[in-house]
Amino acid sequence: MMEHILPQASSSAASIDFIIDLIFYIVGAWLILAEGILFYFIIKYRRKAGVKAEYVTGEKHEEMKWIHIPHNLVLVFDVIILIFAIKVWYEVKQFQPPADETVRVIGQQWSWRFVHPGLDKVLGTTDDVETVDDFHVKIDTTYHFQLESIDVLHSFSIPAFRLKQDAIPGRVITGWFKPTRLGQYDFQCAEICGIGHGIMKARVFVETPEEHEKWLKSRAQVVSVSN
Amino acid sequence: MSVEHHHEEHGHHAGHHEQTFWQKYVFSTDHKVIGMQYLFTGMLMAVVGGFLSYVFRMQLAFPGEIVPFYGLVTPASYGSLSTNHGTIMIFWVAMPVLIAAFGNFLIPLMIGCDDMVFPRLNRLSYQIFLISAILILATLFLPHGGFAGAWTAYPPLSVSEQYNSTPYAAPLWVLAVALEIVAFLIGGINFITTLMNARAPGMKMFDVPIVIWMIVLASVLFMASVGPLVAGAIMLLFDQTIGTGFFSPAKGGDPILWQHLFWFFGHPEVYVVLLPAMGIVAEVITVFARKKMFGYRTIIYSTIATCIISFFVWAHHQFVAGIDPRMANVFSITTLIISIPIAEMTFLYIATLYGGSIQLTSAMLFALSFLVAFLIGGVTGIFLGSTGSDIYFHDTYFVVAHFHFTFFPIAIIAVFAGLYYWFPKMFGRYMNETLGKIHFWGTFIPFNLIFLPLFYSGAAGTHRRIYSYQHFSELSIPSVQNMQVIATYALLVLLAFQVVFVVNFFWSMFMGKKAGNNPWNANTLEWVAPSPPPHGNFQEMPTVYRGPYEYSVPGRDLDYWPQNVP
Amino acid sequence: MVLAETRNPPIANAVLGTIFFVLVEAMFFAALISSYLVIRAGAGLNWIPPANVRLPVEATAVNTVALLISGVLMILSAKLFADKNPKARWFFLGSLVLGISFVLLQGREWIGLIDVGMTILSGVFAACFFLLIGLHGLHAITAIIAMVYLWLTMQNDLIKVERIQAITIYWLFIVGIWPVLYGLVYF
Repeated sequence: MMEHILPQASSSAASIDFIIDLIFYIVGAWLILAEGILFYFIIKYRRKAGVKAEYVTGEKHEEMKWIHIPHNLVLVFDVIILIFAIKVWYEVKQFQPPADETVRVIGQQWSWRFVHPGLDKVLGTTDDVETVDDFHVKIDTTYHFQLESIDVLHSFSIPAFRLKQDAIPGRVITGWFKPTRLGQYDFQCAEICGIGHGIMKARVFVETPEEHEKWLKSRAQVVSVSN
Repeated sequence: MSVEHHHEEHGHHAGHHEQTFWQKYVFSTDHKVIGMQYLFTGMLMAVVGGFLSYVFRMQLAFPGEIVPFYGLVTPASYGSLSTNHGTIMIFWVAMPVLIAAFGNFLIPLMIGCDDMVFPRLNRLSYQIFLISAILILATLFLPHGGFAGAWTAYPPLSVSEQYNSTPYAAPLWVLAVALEIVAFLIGGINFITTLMNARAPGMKMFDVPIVIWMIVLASVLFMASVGPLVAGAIMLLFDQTIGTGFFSPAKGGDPILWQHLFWFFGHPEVYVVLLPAMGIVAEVITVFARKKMFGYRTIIYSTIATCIISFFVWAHHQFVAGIDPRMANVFSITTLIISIPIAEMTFLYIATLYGGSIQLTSAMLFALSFLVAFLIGGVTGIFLGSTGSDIYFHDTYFVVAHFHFTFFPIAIIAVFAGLYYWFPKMFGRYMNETLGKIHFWGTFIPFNLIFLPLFYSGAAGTHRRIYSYQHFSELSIPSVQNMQVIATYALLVLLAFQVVFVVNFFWSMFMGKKAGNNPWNANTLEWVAPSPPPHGNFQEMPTVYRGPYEYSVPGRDLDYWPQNVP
Repeated sequence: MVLAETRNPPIANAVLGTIFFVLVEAMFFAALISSYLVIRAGAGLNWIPPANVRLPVEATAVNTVALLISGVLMILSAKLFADKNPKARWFFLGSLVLGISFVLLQGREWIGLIDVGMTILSGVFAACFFLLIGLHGLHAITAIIAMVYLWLTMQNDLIKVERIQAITIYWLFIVGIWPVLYGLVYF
């Protein structure tokens, strides 16, 4: 259902959309049932002339069982939801598949800086490409990100990837993602960070390896020209 | 303190002297007057909070255009508008009206007593509260504007001017919140001690009406949870004003520590306001369905369970904040567990309607719509309490829609139910029922039209606290931007219909049809006292013979049986 | 007297109110202590006290004993008040005097620390030190003010025993939390 609203552009997006769908159908059914019963009672038990209300206290078991049964069912559905939610969380946040490449993402008031490994595919060498607000990644490649902030809290958020992680000054937080769909997507800051929070946007470009290499080469030329 | 000594010697004479205007209405220690003071202050603050939301909603629907009665909304002022809207609505509207206004007015009346056990402390609590209200309003007019770091005030943003650009408002905002907390701590001590110690003869704890249980449990919950926030607020104030580094990584501090201190309070806080609202709804539905509350004791036990579990869920606000991912799962489990007692309570409330004889008065319409809306608010919380889905929904409008589908029923809908219900007792006159019904529909339908679209907006990835989405290509498409427009128009309609309430409320106070002691044929003790009750409440202190909900008892002529009637 | 105050409850109003107030204070200090532990765990090299500063562990140990004795005296005075024993007020006075001496001696130690350059701005350890010990001291001072007021009131024998019980509960909280703070912060 979520994929109709926003494309699934990372390998985690499908898992996250699945848990969203699961919760949607389960709670949706409960909501319709509960609201249905509520409205039914409101209409059925409208005051009628000469008809007195019933004296039903809930103290008898036959009466209370109508609460116990749904109560236990809620517990069962909670457990089902939790099993899948924790599974998805583990895949996305706890488990880190081995990285093809590593990138650095640095938030500040009010822009994002990205350090891409250069043509040598290794981060921390002289051919790294640094950009502001412009994030280039290759499709079907597993990335580890090293997320930092140099001032206040920010949050690295790419809705199309269903990815979000707060950035904390004084720490380097690691995570992973694997883009699975070519295109350009919004990159947001999802934690209020001052006056410029609303303009703190970037763009993510998911490219084929060839396009990416071409881009890296063009950036290298820029660097060498300016040197 | 020598005044207190004096008071003891004079005994009960105070009520028989002619009181000046100042003694009677401004410096009174009478719980009913103090309750009204809190009510009117809260209502005024609601106008301010509502105005702030009007301004930023206009900006969101029509970005960059001048907002009538305000002007142009800049990125800086947007932050301040949304921060202060949230802060004011929670601390200066929801809490004072639900807990302090209804609590003060109702507790002595419903437990059959003449006043609170600490009347002077009661007056002090309002005075401190009033100072806090004036202070928070003042921060909106300071140089560089009001605090703009969100009602959650996360450091490092909230600490230094270098980051937040509001050097005066930031510490004063913290101080205002701290003073409000002190006021409620004083009030809470009063409520709890009064309930435990001053009940009418014959009133056992399980004969106490649910609304009183709820307000007192909420006070206990508030008192048990707020200590950490006060500790954090002191540390934040020191960081802001003298340069300590409790929350600054460069100085050895930890910004996430603030988050834990804040949310350790912040989560129980939502139940602090939920409980009184559910209490009000319980009173209204029993009276207007003519039915005993279904499972009274189960409701009390479920409420206590909710309060206890509420201390163990706080980090669901911090799943992606950088906490240990393993801990996130623990908090997700506790968060879904807490949904069970709350679901139980909503089932019990719905079951109370079974077999009833329902009169759809204005109060009842609001009380029933509380259930309708809160069900939606509650189930949408599951998306946020589950770690896997919260990765996506955190800091989106889905969260905003979820908490408005809980907070609006709590702070607005349930409050209206209570006001329409107890108005005759408070002022001795009826409110106009036709205007009440118009007000109801003009509130409930627009409310849904504001926040239902925002669920979609959040699902589309719309993040929070952004003054304009024009820069975001996925969020400025018509299907998403239209949600903002619908929400804003609905808010304008909602605000317009509140005029109906204001007119009805104030006109009826002076010109409404006079009401007797017990216009609704209810059982609880406040309806024994005259409308409005005089100083001292009851001509003769009542004795209690049974619980509060003996409606439609088989074999009795009348379909109600007041607690004080043998 | 307001009727609400006369319904002979099992736990007197002032005592019950104080118990709930102490609950709030306990949560407040629990948060301060947890924050201290969290900051200490995360501060790494920033934690050490400023150079040349040694905390007055021994002097404060003596002070701690004085405070504990003050607590014992307060308990005894409450018992004697309940028995209407005229010696009660002298135990109360003893407790009050020891309490005042605790605060004054702590103040003197603080001045000593500030003289050698340790202030609340000398790094995060110093900030935590002054915050925790200072807030405790502030609570001790408010309790002392209440005790002075009660001492003056009890001179004409009209004091209600529930007030003595209430201040005893509050004072015992302040006395009781002190060794925890001392152990955590000074060592």
